[in-house]
Amino acid sequence: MSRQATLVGRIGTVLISVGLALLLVSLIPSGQQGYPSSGEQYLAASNFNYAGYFLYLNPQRGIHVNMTTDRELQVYVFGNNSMYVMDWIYSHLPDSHNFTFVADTFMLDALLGNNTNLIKYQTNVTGQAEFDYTPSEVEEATLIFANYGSEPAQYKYEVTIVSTIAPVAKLQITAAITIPIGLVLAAPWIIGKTREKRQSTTKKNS
Amino acid sequence: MAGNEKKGRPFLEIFSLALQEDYRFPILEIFAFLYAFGTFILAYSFFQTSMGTMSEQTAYLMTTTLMGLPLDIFIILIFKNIAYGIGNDLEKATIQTLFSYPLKRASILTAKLLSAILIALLVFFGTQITALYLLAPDIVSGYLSVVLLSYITNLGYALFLTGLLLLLTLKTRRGGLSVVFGLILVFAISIIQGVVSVIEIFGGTSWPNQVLAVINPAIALGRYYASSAVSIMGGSTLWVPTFNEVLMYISGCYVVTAVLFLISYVYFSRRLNL
Repeated sequence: MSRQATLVGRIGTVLISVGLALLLVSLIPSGQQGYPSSGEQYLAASNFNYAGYFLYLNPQRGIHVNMTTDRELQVYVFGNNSMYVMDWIYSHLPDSHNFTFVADTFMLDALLGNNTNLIKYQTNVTGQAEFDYTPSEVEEATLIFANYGSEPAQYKYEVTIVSTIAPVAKLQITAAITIPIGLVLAAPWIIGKTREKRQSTTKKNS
Repeated sequence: MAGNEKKGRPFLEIFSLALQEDYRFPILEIFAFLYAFGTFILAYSFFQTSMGTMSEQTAYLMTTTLMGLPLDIFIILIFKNIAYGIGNDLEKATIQTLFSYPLKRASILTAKLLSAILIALLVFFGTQITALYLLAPDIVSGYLSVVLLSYITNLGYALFLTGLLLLLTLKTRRGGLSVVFGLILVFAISIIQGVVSVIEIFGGTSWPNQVLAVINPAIALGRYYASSAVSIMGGSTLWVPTFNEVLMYISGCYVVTAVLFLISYVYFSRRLNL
């Protein structure tokens, strides 16, 4: 075997082993972290509400939301904490001494319109619904529920933190690239080695 | 030109022999697997506890968490290559064969060290860069200098241990004994670090920690980034270096390491009676 073939072959086998490690990590199932947070709220017509607790999310730490509502609701995952939402609303009220509109959907629309990059996920929920959200980077998040209808809504939600060892899709894509490249690079070296072994055993036998 | 080529070939020959010896199939593959697996498993502990905000501390914590276990694996691989590899060559006198090559002893040692350290480093960084890219590209791009500084700092300690082990191996000329010495050395330094921390907390004196930071600058960098969290035990404040002091500790570590390697080279070239 030439040195070049050995070098290329060993690079291939290293790529295969790294790919296999990534694949193995990606197969470790995701799990629920801590206890789910839940709430039951009444939401007047043309009003919005948000979950007051902080959600610290990252590519390995997402949320699973399970909710039921008796009216159509718009649910947003907003990419900043609830303090930011509250501060923004209070500092942008039409009249800073009149708090009538702090929960009005037009204030929410103003917030979202000025922070479109922070709308990480949005969905329309009627009846029972479940959804998952996992960010692509480290972020704080707030769940916002908006009732754009003309009737008051009653809703229940449960938020569970779902954690994975690593971003599964990214790992599997990387493994799907490195393993075949590794196989292509290692194949001539492995075949050569096998031939060498066969020849040496045939010589020994004869 | 022709002279350089002639010199280069024996060097490559020895380098290639060392590679074959150090990384017999499937040693390199097993270590590459462990590097990758260890990196992602440790990343879990960071990402499940990290707060949403990105900062220099976050970048530092993430990098040190990610490289924790792989750095230990890297040290084990280096120990195997140096203590067991070079040590056994000296013990069994197979190094004599290498001395017959038309090369200076220093070049022979360089070829052996390149094989022992460089390949291990390449695989280490290969898996670390992949992991950083897959797990937190935003943190890496936002705080690249912190990430690089963390690697340089932690690698300094690993290279210091390597230099010390090389010197021990050349002195004892025994593979097995050097491995044992190396392991004792690592554990002893860990125990000393623990004792020194206790002395600092209860005795209020921080100079032992500062001395230790010269060989392990990660202590200084860790204190610098965790400065807000080091006020413990009844409000007594622990030693927190400035950023310039951290840079001095890192430089100090690399100077000490360079001196260790220099002594090893001189010893290998002139004092090794073989």
